[in-house]
Amino acid sequence: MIQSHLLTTEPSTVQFAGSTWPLIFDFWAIRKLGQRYAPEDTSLDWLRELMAKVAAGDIDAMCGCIWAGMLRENPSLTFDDVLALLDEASFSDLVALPEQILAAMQDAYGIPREAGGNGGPWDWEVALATWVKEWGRSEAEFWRATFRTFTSISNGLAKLYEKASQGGASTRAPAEGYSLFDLLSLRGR
Amino acid sequence: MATAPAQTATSCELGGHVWDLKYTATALRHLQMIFGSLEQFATQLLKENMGQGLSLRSQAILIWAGQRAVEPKLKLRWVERFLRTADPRIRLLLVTWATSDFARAVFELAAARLEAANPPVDPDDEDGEGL
Repeated sequence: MIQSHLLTTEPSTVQFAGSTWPLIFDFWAIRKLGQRYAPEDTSLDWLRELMAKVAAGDIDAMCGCIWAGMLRENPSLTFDDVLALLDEASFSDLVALPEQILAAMQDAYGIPREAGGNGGPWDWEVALATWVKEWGRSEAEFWRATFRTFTSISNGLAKLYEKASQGGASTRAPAEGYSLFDLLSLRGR
Repeated sequence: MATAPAQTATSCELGGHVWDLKYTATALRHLQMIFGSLEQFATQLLKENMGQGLSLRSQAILIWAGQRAVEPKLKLRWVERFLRTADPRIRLLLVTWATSDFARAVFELAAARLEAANPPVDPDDEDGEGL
């Protein structure tokens, strides 16, 4: 099963400048990324584009992703702080970073898929169980929190919320085999 | 007048200002955002007589980006004005310095990419022992 940072407190890591840096790509991170890179967008196409930029070695995109991934543990961290850290990175580090960042993002969000392709799965049941059992929070709160994050990036996600909350959400994940990426961008099957 | 950084082992005073050009992530990010592909920009600089054939604005951006690591508050306008009013020999030196250091950074990135794609073979593995 795919790892998600909503499910686990184990962060992914990237290595540069002689240190290992933990990254947590949760909803908070995706929201901060959205605010930085696509404040007006209502779809998630920007995330696909951002990941393509990371893959191409775009330093701004890499820095943005690392910054967002570090935010949960260091909420006051700024983009420029991370850029200053990256100034200490070697050229070999910079070349190795895209793969590490993308692996961490894909662990959390699934693989952005092209039309008709398959993304990674997102296990809603496990996410919910972890939220309730390990974090001691309520099911209603889970859906509210998820939905609140979704609405901040897309206006059309009421449909998803309705679908997910029909007939008790606990065992009714929206569908199996969805990538979070699909859900966030409201791509159904 | 921008506040000059302190002298370091890599700095050089030119035209009354201490320059310490560094093409690390901050500079490369700026140049990537403005010029797109770093490789193409490096090629263009080398073709244009080590950057001498570039517009004053592009030269200023190249130098400004390299200097930002040590002078984060440096304004591009200040560098443009400096280049416009400086002794042409100082402008030539600064642009050549910036071009060569930037090109070296791009070459080192390319070398690191090549090495990552084709990691060197461990000589111990060549005889097939330990498989």
